[in-house]
Amino acid sequence: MMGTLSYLVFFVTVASLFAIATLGLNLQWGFSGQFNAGVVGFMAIGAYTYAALTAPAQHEHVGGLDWPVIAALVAAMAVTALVALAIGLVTIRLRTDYLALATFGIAAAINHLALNLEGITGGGRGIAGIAKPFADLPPLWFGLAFLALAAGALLAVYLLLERLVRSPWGRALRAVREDEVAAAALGKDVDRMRLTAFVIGAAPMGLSGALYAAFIGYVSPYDFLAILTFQIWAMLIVGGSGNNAGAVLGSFVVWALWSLSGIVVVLIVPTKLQVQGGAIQAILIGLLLVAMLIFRPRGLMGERLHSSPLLRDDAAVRH
Amino acid sequence: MIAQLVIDGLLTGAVIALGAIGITLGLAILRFANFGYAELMTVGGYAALTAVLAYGGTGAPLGPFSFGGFLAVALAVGLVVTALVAVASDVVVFRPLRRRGAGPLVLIFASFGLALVLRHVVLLIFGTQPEYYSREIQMAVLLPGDVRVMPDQLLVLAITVLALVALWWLLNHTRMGLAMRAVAENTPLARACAIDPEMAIRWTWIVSGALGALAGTLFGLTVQLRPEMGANLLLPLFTAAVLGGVGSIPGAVIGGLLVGLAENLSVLVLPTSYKATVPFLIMLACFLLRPKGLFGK
Amino acid sequence: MTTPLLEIRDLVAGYHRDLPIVTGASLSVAAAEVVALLGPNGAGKSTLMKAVSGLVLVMGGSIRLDGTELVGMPTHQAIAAGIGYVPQVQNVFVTLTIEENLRAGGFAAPRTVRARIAEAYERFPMLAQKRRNLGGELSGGQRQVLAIARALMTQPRLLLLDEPSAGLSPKAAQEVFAAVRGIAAGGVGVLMVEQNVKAGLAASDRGIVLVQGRPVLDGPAASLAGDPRLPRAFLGEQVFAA
Repeated sequence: MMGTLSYLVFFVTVASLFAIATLGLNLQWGFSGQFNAGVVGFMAIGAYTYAALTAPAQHEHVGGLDWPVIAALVAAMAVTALVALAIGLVTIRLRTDYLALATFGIAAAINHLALNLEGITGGGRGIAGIAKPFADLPPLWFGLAFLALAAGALLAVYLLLERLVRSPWGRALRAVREDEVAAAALGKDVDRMRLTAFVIGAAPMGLSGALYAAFIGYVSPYDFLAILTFQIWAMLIVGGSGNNAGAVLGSFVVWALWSLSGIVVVLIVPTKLQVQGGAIQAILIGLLLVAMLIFRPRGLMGERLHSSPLLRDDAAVRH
Repeated sequence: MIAQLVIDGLLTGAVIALGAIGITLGLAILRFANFGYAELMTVGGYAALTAVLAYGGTGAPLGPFSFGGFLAVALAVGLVVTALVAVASDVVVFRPLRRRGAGPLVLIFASFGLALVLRHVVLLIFGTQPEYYSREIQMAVLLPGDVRVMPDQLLVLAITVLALVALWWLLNHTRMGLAMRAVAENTPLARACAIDPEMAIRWTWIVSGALGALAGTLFGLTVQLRPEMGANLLLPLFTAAVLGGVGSIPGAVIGGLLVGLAENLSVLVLPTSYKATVPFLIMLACFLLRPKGLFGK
Repeated sequence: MTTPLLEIRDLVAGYHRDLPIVTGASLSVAAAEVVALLGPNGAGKSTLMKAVSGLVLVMGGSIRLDGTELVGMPTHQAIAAGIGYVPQVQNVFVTLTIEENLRAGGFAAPRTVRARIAEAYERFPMLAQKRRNLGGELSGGQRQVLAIARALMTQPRLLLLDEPSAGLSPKAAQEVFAAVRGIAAGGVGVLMVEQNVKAGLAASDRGIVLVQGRPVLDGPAASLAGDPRLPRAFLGEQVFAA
């Protein structure tokens, strides 16, 4: 009973962390049409920022700054947004498939830096001893308290983004996504709007990574591999891009499928083949992504606002 | 030292060039960035390995090389299997999306999903440990300038040149090649010429799949086979294709060689651990300075 | 009178199911006849051509070539059935050589390609001179000639030309029209969209004026050229459109 409860708490906590990142991606892709194939890079920046600010000094990397948790979380978001701004300034005019390539490469480069900048990241050994809020509580209470923190953060991000996309700015952003030329003709500064959406969307990804680091208490480059980007994308596509509630729903559904398939793999695959077990999960994510695109392209919850069906599929590539 | 790096760079570049041709054909004819393409290299390399394992090796080594004559058969198996996988992925995934009128971004997503499936199916079957076609020792050949090359590596260069000649002939002197070039330039006009674009698309998958399998097998021969080898080559391949100019085959070849050279020569100025970041930096520079590539229109 | 080569009945066609551009057109073209398809901008002339070649949605009506129904045929089948189609723009492959353009045109009939190319070179010696040049290296008039020669590669019975004189100098346009007359003299039916009413009718046997997706005038070119209803048909559309 307690086992089930604590697993459930763990499950909802992690799903909430994913949902925060998915919401950020939804602003970039769902509302602004920007193909960020390097989500995991922004999560890594958030995680490492949080780690660097809170972990004790160790011989191989800097530390001992001892920032309070909340301040470190805010700083993680801010640093991620700054990095996104720098990246966005360089990539904002790229056509969408090139943006995908560039961001994919940036995430790979960030992973490379995490592995090689040992003085800051601890290299392949990662950073241990990261500040875990509520760490003094007994395990179940720690879980519940952290769940409250994660769910609270998710709710805050959700409400802020909902407010944002319903504002005149949000409507203009969708207009830019549907028809850039027309929006520009109406006097919208298209590049600036896209850049703003890219930066604001990156901040929750950083928060998600930082909370993950705070939850586990340890980060390493191997926590931020490219497959995580695809998981987040699968969550958005399954939930329905252009819909914040859909992004959250998709995160929970895909994480549930991932966890369930993991349990099944543990039950049926021999221990020495557990690496291959992870492969089964990755195959399922891939199949899910492809199947959704073929059979239910709008996801479980598509965009609520009316948009022309003629524009849905073809509107996105810029030349 | 530099001469050695140049030779190594050309060797890496040759494999990248073959793959970059597949990418550029996809961009020109299928009209989307196929992020799953590099996995076809993995599939091809491992399909050839399967044949080698089934036969119990590659046979007695041929002359100075590390492998026996059976590797040619294994390569043929790899080419056919990969072309079939490529066509099947089109029939199952991409054609239904095309029929629905899905945009190129949807196709890119689908290629991401397909990449995950292909890579992990290989991982599931073969595991994570590196594999080799042959573990025979070969004697390095000493070239002028104190450059050491393995006989296998020289053969890889020769095979790459042969493959390029064959591809050139295919595209310029066959009906199928004409159809592919016509569809790449102007699909409506190709239709008005009674060329069925679906046929050109099918041939594009076959040709690019076979090129990928060749590149994967040559990579496996001179480096090693690993399930993530394709994924690791994805950025270099796209960099070469973008650098050369989308749709340009000579561009893809030159782009591939340049990327290979830059990667290997980078160790003169950068720590070796950053070698893998070099293609990405080239890509970024290309996007910013010359998005049409060196030979783009 | 024999049955016409091309017989279109009550054709409804367009790019989107809810938005027909051709709204019930009936017309015919006989073998060896040149018919000019005239009308104001947006009247549906190009869409009608594309409907015959299977490039747009057909929502109703029939298109028969020598009795064979073309509606529902994909383009490559319509071409094989005897249609030659020259689009208005981007009608040559600029990255292929002249000879490759012709080869592409003869894609449906590989066995006769060699003979057809020889014919094309005989009819248009300019193409033979530039056979190794790229399509993109030709002038506007030369491209139009290449486009027509390319469409003739399958020996079509009906040739569809979408504004063959667009963007050409009067001299180049006259050369293109002369070539079209020569092709029709060989028995091929020609349906051509023309913006230049006077020159178009002068080169044609018959003229059809399309307004808002339907033919409103149909008659011999010579009498249509002086018909007072002709300018009104164009003008009427403009009044409605304003």
